[in-house]
Amino acid sequence: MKDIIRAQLRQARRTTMLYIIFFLLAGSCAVGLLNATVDGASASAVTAGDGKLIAAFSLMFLGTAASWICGADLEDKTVNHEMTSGRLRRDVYLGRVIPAMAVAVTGTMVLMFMVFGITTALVGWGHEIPLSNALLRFALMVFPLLRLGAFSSAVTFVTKNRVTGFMVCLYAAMFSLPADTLPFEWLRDLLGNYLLLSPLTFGKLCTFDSWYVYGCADLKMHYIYYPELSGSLIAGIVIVSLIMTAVYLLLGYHFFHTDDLK
Amino acid sequence: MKNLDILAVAAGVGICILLYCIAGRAERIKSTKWKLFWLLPASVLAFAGRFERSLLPLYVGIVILLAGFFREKTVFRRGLSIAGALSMLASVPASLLNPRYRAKDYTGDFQKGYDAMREHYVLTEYKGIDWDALYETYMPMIEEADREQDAVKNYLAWSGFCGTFHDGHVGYYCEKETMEAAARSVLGNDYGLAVMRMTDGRFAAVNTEESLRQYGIANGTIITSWNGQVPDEVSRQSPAWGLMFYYENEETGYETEFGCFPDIDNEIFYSGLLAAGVGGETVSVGILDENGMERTVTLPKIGEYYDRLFGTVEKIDHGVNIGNLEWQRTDQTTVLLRIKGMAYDTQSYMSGDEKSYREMKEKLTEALEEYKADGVKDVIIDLRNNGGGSPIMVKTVVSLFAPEGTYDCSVDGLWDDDRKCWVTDENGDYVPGKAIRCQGENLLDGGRVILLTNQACVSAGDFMVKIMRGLPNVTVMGFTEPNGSCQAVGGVNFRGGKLTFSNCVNLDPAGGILIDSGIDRQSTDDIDVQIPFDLDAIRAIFDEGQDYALASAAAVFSSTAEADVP
Repeated sequence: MKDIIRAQLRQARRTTMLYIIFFLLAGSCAVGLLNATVDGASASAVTAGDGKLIAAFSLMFLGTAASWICGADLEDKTVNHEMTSGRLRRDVYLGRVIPAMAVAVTGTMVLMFMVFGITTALVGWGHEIPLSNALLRFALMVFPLLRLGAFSSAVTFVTKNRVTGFMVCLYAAMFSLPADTLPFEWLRDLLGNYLLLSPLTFGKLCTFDSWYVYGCADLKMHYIYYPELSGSLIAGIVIVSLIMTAVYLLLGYHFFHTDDLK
Repeated sequence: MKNLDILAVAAGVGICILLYCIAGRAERIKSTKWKLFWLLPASVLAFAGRFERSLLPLYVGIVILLAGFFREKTVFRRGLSIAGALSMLASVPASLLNPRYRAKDYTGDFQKGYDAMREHYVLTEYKGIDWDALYETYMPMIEEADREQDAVKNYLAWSGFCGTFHDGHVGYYCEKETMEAAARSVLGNDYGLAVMRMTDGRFAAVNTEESLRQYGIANGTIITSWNGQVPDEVSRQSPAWGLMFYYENEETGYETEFGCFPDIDNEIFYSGLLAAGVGGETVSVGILDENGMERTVTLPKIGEYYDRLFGTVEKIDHGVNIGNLEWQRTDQTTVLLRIKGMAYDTQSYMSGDEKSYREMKEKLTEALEEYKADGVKDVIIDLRNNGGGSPIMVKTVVSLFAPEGTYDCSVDGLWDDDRKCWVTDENGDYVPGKAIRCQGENLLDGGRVILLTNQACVSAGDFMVKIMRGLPNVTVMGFTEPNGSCQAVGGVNFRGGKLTFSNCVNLDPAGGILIDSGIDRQSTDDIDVQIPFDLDAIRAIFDEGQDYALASAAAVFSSTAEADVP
């Protein structure tokens, strides 16, 4: 299995598409964040205010990487050749899922860290939210990212199609957005009120409870953020994410295990 | 049971039937794709709404069916379908028998609103708010409403809580139906009349039914007693005393029906009104007959007081019924400008820059120039029932009518971005920050302005009255003073309502709290001329349907020499 993992990582390193997506997303996110700092806002202010949108954008890389690594060899039948040459299905599956999730999660974390890092270097962190809290939230993002990576990988194995895996991941990423940032009212209603999927996901880590006041002379708003995370929320994020990661991987493997070689 | 939950259970059971039917075929025709059907139950979650304990059997049923993904035997899968369907169906009686099925968290909402208000309300010391006492009084009422899932009780508790602040910006808003049910439950019975206190201190019947003529009661009949007591004392015994009736209108935003009087003078003006709902099947009313003789009549209950009370307030307080920022010629030399709210369009409303009101300013200037060319000299600005809005728009409008010169309007509190609070000095007073000033343009060339106001003129409307009253060419008139609430507002949203309150500091140019009333309940936004609410006013309003306040304002211009007007 190790050689398959190594091969997949080498293949990922040479996939130009992943680099293009990564730098396109990094560029557009950085421009978006820096644009938000034009009126003097600090990095912590834009993180608290617009961080959720940047983070949701970054999930596009997660979907791309996970579905690309899992799906490429399914589409060109490399997987079939491996199994007909005596490889265990378990090795073939994990040999793709593990590097896919590793590249997807690491790449997404690096992308976010880079964008927020550049912004901080240019305009300073500021005092809207403590850096330690932002770093804690950043570290906790690994868990929902693993969950989404596993979901995308499993879907790719079921459909044997990279685009489906990516699209489904992208759709799932929308559940991570806080309902009030969604563009259409019907979508806000659907995701905000009628789905069980929102409370313990990525979106919770990107959103800061806030209060604002303003002056009547210029209507300039001043935000107060409440960045603390409760212990139960942290535990919920970690436990539910790990359980669902295992469930998705198990479902994906079970399907792949009994699937025909077509 | 909620429709979406019924739909979720129906969809779940439908999927169970489908899976039962295809289980045999899935075993006969070998294909891994059949497995995907056993993931289908998860889609039921799309209808299932927020987590609900009573629907646990539904969730369990979904998990049961998912087992069919792993084992492909027909008998096993059919067994799962039956077990899943039974489990899902069990959520129906579970929901119907659970008194807290989809229960609204009134206690949680109150806690959230109370916490936010306690932290951010800016007039705590100024109004002498005792937060702990309020919590002890109102939390048990909210808990009772929560236990009984009674929206009306919840509304009444919030209404009482908000009423204790005597601040027009403190309000609980929910859908109109709940407000109406709550108001009907406390306003009492209708006996065919409302009672208003006149300027001379006597009480009179207003908005009366024709049928009361047989008892010698008509609009303007003096009421000496209500059930043997003075009407304003009876008002204080009404369960509606101290409550406020606000609701949220999807089209027009926040609506205020009745009941918040930050300035005690305004409360006194309406102090007889609630009395006319107090009583049983009959009520004994002391009146002065046509000969000035006092006698008592017994009036039967004819319905609920709700419509009569709000109808009375509407007749007294309504402004001229034309669009916002529209003009209406009242006579050869006078024109009226109606300002219902301080908003021109969305873009300017969100902007803190006076330039965003350029279009509005040009339109007002152009219209006024045309009227002036047509002989108009004076202007009445009708601010009655003005719900407020942008202070920048106020500044823009005031500058048009103010004589040339610079006017200090107000000062923001100073915000400390590091400590995240309004800065106070060693005495606990707010420290002034940025000032709002306006530059007079004297568009009227010495013409006079009368500002019509009332108790429902609030917030930025209050602010406009305050600034313009300081101008030498302006007279402020009304039956009552403006509302007396002018700190900027913030709020908390709940699932079933909204709470708003003052959370931004506005100071007067001298550094004191701008306009809002303190412990003494006297706001600093007053009027120059109080229009007497007397028998003439009552008959004009309730018999002839006149806009008596407007007629009084117009009469000032037509009968008074220019020099006599302040």
